[in-house]
Amino acid sequence: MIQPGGHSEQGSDRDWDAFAMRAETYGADISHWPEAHRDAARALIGLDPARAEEVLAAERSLDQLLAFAPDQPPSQALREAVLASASAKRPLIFVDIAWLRWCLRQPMLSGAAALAVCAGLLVGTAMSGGALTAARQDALASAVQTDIPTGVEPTSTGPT
Amino acid sequence: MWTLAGERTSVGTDDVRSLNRAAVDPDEDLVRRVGQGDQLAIRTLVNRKLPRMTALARRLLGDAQEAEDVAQEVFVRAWRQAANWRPGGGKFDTWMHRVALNLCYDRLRKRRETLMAEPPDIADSSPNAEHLLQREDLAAAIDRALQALPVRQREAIVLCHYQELSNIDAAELMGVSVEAVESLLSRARRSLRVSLADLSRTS
Repeated sequence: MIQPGGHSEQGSDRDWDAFAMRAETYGADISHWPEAHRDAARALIGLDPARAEEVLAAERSLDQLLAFAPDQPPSQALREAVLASASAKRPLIFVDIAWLRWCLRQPMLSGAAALAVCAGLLVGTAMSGGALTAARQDALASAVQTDIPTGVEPTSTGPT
Repeated sequence: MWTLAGERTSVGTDDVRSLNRAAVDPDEDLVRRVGQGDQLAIRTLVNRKLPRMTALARRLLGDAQEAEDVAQEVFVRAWRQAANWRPGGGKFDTWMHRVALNLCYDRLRKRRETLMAEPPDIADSSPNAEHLLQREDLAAAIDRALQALPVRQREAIVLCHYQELSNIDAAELMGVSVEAVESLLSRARRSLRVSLADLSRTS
């Protein structure tokens, strides 16, 4: 489109200067340019493809080099830890362990019920992605071992 | 806005940013379901965003383990935020980027980062240049060149080129104007072009 004031059919020098500036800033891929500038850039390319290619070629080389440092996928361990953190119960702390020991001592709770509470808390712990420290895990295991009432079978369903 | 006729229609940065905030958030429904504890939504969010957060942190920090630590912390905060997320205040992806950037800034400050004293170990035109064409060596050379950039330039190129954020989103995250982001991008690309010139020739 020829404008009054000296714009040539191939675009003005000012158009090409702006085009070169955008290429230096955003690279050769017009789709990565700000949306507001894309249509005008494509129109200019259409007017003089050879000149546009001359401008874009150097930037395309750099773009291609930068693409040689691709994203490295996150490790499976990280993925699992992140998923676990989404399901994390409140981390077992000293108060929780004391509550667990209390539950296991209650005659009203059958052995199975007490173990169900324990299992539930252990599952929550396992899903907490490391929120329970090793020391606390040991304390929990110790609490379970010492507080299970004598003679109660883990599979018992009735009151003892 | 720039037109072929040479007219420049200036659009206030604030106006554009307001429009940006009003733009539809493609993650809005997903975040709402995450906030409700939907396990499928949680997995989807992780699949969608974890690679982005890890890549952002790795390119800014230059350390894979630190990047994973940052990414994990971003998601710990994301789970809390999802339950309270109110649509219309911006994109969740932008919020996650903001959290990741702040965490990276903290680590960079602690690290007392300085520019590399020596230029990156980039190939010259000697016969040894051939081995650098191996992909791993090339990737390592490019990573070193990125790490050699001043932090703000690196940030601009990571956000705009690698994370493919708009210049408006990048400017908002970096707390600068769009023009400042463009200046940082130009300088970063210029520096990279120089430091990677030999690689460009041999490849």
